[in-house]
Amino acid sequence: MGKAQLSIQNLQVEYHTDEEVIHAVNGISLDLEEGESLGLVGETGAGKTTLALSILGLLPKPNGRIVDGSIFFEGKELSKTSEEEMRQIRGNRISMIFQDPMTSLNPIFPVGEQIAEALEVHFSLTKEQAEKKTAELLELVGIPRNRMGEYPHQFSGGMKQRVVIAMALACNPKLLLADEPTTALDVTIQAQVLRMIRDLKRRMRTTLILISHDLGVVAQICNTVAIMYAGKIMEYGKIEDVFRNPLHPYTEGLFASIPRLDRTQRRLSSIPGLIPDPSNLPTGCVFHPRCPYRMGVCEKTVPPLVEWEGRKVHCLKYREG
Amino acid sequence: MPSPVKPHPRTPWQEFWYRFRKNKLAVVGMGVILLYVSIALFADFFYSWDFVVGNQIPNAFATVGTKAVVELGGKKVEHLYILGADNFGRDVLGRMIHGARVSMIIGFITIAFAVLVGGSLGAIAGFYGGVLETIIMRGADILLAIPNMLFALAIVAAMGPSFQNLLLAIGITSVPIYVRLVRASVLTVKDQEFVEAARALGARDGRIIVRHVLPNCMAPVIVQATLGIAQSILSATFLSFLGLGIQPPAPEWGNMLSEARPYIISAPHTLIFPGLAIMTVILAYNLIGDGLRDALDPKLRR
Amino acid sequence: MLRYLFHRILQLIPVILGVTLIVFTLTYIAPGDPARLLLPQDASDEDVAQLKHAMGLDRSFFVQYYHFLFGYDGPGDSFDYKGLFALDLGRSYVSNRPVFGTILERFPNTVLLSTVALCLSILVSIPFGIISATRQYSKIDMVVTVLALVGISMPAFWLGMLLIWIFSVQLKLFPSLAVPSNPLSIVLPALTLAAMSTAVQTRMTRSSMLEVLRQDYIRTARAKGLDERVVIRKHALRNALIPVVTVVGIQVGQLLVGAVLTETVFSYPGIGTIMVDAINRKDTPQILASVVFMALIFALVNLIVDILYAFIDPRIKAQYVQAGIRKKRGLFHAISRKTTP
Repeated sequence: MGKAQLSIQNLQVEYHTDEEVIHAVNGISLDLEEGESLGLVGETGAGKTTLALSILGLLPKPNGRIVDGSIFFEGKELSKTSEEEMRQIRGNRISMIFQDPMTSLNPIFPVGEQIAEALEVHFSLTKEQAEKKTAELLELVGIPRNRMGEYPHQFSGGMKQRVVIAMALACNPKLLLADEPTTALDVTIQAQVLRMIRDLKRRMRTTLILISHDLGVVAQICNTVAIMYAGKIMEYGKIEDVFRNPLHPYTEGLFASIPRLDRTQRRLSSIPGLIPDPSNLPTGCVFHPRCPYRMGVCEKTVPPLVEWEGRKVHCLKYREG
Repeated sequence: MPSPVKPHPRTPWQEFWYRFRKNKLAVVGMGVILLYVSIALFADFFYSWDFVVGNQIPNAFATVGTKAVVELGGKKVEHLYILGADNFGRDVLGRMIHGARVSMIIGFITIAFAVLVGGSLGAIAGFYGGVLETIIMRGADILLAIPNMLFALAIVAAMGPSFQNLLLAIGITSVPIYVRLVRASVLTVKDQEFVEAARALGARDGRIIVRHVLPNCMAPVIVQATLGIAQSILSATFLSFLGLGIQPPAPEWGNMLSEARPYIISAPHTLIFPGLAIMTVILAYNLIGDGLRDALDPKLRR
Repeated sequence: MLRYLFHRILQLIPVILGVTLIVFTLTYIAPGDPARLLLPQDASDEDVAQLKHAMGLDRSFFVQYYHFLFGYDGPGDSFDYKGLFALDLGRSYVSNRPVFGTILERFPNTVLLSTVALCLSILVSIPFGIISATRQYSKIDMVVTVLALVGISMPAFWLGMLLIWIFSVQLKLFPSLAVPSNPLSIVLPALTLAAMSTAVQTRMTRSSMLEVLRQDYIRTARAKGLDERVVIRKHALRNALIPVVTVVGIQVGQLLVGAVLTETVFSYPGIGTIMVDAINRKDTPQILASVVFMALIFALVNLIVDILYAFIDPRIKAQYVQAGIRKKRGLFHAISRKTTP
């Protein structure tokens, strides 16, 4: 350890509104080696996007703030870095692909210009060089270079997402955060875009955090997976291990709720109850109200992080020794 | 055990009221309007109509807080001019209070008219479409192509100044905005499932409009109507100021200002107070309008 | 682009017809007989009827409307006019001068006053709207918001008189009567006229900017590592200005109406005072001409605003020029700002 490219320690993020405090991320720790690809899986509202935005320092102001913990990237603590330095990291060392390609592009500028902009900010390129690089990037994501002068409304959803990906890759980032990159797309396009992200990642040796609520998507691309629930990581480990033998009751529930072709199932099960209100989290283990293996102690004790069969898991079922 | 969902799901109305109440400025605006409405209702209780209309020439331009002897119903009584007197010696505060009545009435009547007429036309246009829609919407477009106040001015200039014509002018010019608003809302609700369902159950068009479509476009109409009342009152004072609205000696804030104009130097109080009255009323309606919009606009919800 | 222009100008025709029809109808149904007004009190009904015939007022509604638009050639010469489209609606009942002559003579004064007011309001409202939005809930935002609220609630004629009372009566800084030749005398009417528009535009800029700053593409721009100033100036402002441009267009109409009041308060010789004088003297042709003239100017300004709109927002233009752009596709320089519409 210590050599990790990205290291998040006990991160806590809150959103403050007039009425309440929303606990979006509640003590997350993660370490990512260079070139690793991590899948962050969880239901809507589990704090996945918030985690990504805190890495980039783009939590919505003035409501969102990091209240505790730290994020180290290449040895530098991001939450203590000046805005000016963060700006040089954003889009350059770390970049992000956003969820909805329909709204992620500025409607009044040609797409080429929006890609070139990232290049112009981070590399001192002449206009011609930036244009040349932009054209290459567009071709890399499978868009003919002669469409760079067109506006977002002239592209389809899948094409827009390609533009967003080209934009994110423009400066060869060391770390790529992909927030549900395929959720807004048609199923047929989803596969194309996923394959593209995987190939580009391999070619550019980028570290990847893929955020998704879809275990299948994560399985296609990632080597490690972290299951998030109510702003916490429930289980974190190699993807094969987690898929083959889920340890945490929540992970188990997640797997039981997706249809599988390799087994005969009478019916799909679902996890009873709803995800907790983030302004009013349960005491003890956040998952205990919905947990089928609930024990008395779960209401009172916050489960520690336990190393179990090469994985990390937050559950009182697993105790050392 | 903490329940996984919020324990207090509010009804939409409670939710709205909760959000509206949080906006202190809007609540202040509401208070101001209630004050004005009660003053308008009980205007005669404070000052008799004969007194605010009748001349008291000897006390002309009495300054703020002057005590003077006035003739009232053939008797001589001592009277306190709280906000002074105008060029005919009439009590400024008294005229403002009776002026409030006029302004409140104008605001409510014109907007009620505009909402009813405009809303019906908009609902018809949105619900039935076709030629009817084209005619109604082109008509609204053309009316909107003339600035509101200019149009109102043209109407009263042509028809002659009177209270009815003033109401008509301001009412008519306020109609098109509600046509557009209601039509737009109707179009968005029309094809939604609950309307389809009602239709499948054999409900008549009229019933569908009244029961399903209109309640869904109330929010923008209420906001617009609140701001519209402010606009109406402003238009009325503007027309009266130009001599096209309420005719003196009947008191109205705009014509009070018009009468005060030659005496800016000698009697600034006759100018300042009626203007303040107009401004506070308009401000209050604008505050309420803003508050309502914020409380009703689902887009701004967290 | 030409197609868009053409389309938009075509849309103006029914509006012009509608507006003229409304104004004409108003005078047609107006009580009071202009012929009787023109004649001495003791004129006989026969005299009135004769004059009505000479003025063409005994013809049907549509014939009279036709005359109104395209001119009237009556039995005598004194009541002939060439119609609205030739900017000739006859002579004033009061001064006996051609009505449009007076309007065109004084219109530049109104343009001067309104232009100064418009520039003033844009220069003040847009920067303050932006500052207010980018520092939401700060002290300066509170001050701007409250001032703007007071601004939209203040009747122009009252503000004008207050300014006279403060600046010419008390402080003796500016004259209370305004004439176009004296720049100092324009200050107060321009301020009066600008106040309402400034307030409306500030509110619009603020809310539009707040709305845009919430958009995903602003987050994308920040994620690219752009300077916050660039994000605001380049990515947010231009999107935020799209609705503001419309509001400014509507404000031009408000300025014209405001000019009627402001000019009256400051006795400024513009089209507003013409209209008010004409109304007070029941000078129908002059009223008709001034109202129609203002309404047409308003329609024209809205046309210009719509065209500007298309220049700012490529999506609107795109509806009309898809074909054109497809031809240009492949030209590499499209990325440079030169071809940005």
